[in-house]
Amino acid sequence: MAQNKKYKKLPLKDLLAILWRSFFIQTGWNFKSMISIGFCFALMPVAKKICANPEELNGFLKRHVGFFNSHPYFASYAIGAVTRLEEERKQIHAPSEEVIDKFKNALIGPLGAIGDQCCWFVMRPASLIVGLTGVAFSQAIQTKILFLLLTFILYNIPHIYIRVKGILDGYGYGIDVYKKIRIDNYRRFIQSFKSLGVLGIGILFTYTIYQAYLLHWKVSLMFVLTLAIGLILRLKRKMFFTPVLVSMVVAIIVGII
Amino acid sequence: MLQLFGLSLSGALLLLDSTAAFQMLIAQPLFACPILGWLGGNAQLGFELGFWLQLIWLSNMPVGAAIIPEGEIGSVAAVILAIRLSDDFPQLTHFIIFMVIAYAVLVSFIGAKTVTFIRNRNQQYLQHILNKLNQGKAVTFGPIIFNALAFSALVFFALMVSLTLVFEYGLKPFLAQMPLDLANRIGLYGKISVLGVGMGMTITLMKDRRYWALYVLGMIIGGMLILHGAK
Repeated sequence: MAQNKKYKKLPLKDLLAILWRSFFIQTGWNFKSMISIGFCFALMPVAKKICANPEELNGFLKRHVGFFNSHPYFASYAIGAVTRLEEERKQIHAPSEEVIDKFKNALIGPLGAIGDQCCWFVMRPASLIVGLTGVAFSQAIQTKILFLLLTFILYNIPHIYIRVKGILDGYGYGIDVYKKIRIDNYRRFIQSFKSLGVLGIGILFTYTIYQAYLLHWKVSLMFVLTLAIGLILRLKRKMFFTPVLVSMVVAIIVGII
Repeated sequence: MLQLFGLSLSGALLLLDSTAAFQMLIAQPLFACPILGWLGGNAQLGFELGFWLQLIWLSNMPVGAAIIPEGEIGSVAAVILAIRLSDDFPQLTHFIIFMVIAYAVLVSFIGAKTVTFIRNRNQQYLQHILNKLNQGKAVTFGPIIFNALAFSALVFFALMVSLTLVFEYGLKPFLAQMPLDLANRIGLYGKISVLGVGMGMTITLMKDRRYWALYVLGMIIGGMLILHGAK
C-alpha cells in the first residue's frame, strides 16, 4: 500500500529553509564528526516532516549526526539528495537506511574534491585577484568600494548558485545525483575563472613592477629580490610565512644599513 | 577603550564568515580591513592594509580540514592594532603598516591554535547531542548552532582585545623612541618587500602553461592602464 503512494514533493518553503540552514553547515565543525552537526541542522525541516514521532526523529538524527564531511558549498548536493532519499524511504520504504548511509559516505570524496578544485583553488583566488587589481589601480575610495562590491558579486553569484543548484539537483535526482557531481560539468566554469585570475595576475604584476620602478633604484632592487624570494620559496612548496619573514628580515637589514 | 571593544566585536563578527557561517568572502583581508578601517575612522589605512595582507595570503588558501596559519584572524588583529597605533603616531604610518604585517603573521599562528580550540569545543556540542539522543530526548539544533556561533565570536573578541592591549602598550614606548628617518626607511623597504614577496607568491597561483598568452595580455592591459593613468 505504502509503495503505491504518490511521491510527494517538498514545498518551496521547506527547500528555502534548508538552503538558509546550509549556510551554517560548518558552524559545528569538529574533529570527530566534521560537519555532521550542520548537516543535521540543514535536514531538520525535512526530518520534522517525515518523522511521525520523537523516536523516529531520534533514529533519523542518530544516523546522520555520526559523520559527514564535504566542501561547504557542494554539501548542498548531499543535503538535497538525502532529503529526497529520506522522503522516499518514508513513502515507499526504499532505499534502506543502510543504502542511504553508504550513498552519503560515497559522496564525501567527490564533493570535497570538486569543491576544492572549483572554489578554493580557482573561484576564490580569481575573484580576490580582480578585487586586488581594482583596489591597486583606483585612487578614490569610492572606486575602491565599487571594485570590492564587484568582487563580492563576482564571487557570491556562483557561490549561491552552487548551493541552490546542489539542493535542487540533489532533491531532483536523488540517488542519481552522482551523475551531476563530475568535474567535467564544471570544466568551463573553472576555465572562465582561471582565465580571469590569470589576466588579473598579469595586470597586477605590471602594476607592482611600475610601483617599484617609480622609487629609488635600491628600492626597485629590493622589489626584484623579494619577488624572487617569494617565487622560488613558494615553488619549493614552502609555507607562506617563510618567504614573508625572510623578505621582512632583509628589508629591516637594508633599512638599517 | 570603547573603540577597541567596538572594533574587536566587529572583527569577531566578520571572522565568523571565515568558516563558521556563510563564507561569502567578507572575512578576507581585502574586505575585512577596509570595513574595520572605516569603522575605526581610517578607511584609507584599512584599504592599504587589506591590499598588502591579501597579497601575501592569497596563495595560502585553507582547504578542507587543514589547520594552517589563519591569515584572516591575523589580518583583523593587524588592522585593529594599526588603527590604534596610527592615531598616536601618524608620522610613522609606513613603519606601522610594515610592523603590523609582521604582527599579522604572528597572530595567524595564534589564530590556528584558536581555531583548534573552537573545534574541540564543538566536539562537546556533538557529545551533548549524542547523549541526548541516547537518552531518547529531543534535540533542538537552533540553540546549539547559535551557541557555537556565539562561542566562536566570543573567543575571537577576547583574542582581539587581549592581543591589541598587550601589543599596543608594548609597542608604544618603542615607537616613541624610534628615529623618524630610520622608521621611514624601514617602512619603505618593508612595504616594497611585502609587495615583492606577495607578488612572487601570487604568480605561482594558477600556474598553467596553457594560459601564458593571458598572462602577457594581462601585462599589456596593465601597461595600458598605467599609461592611461599617467596621462
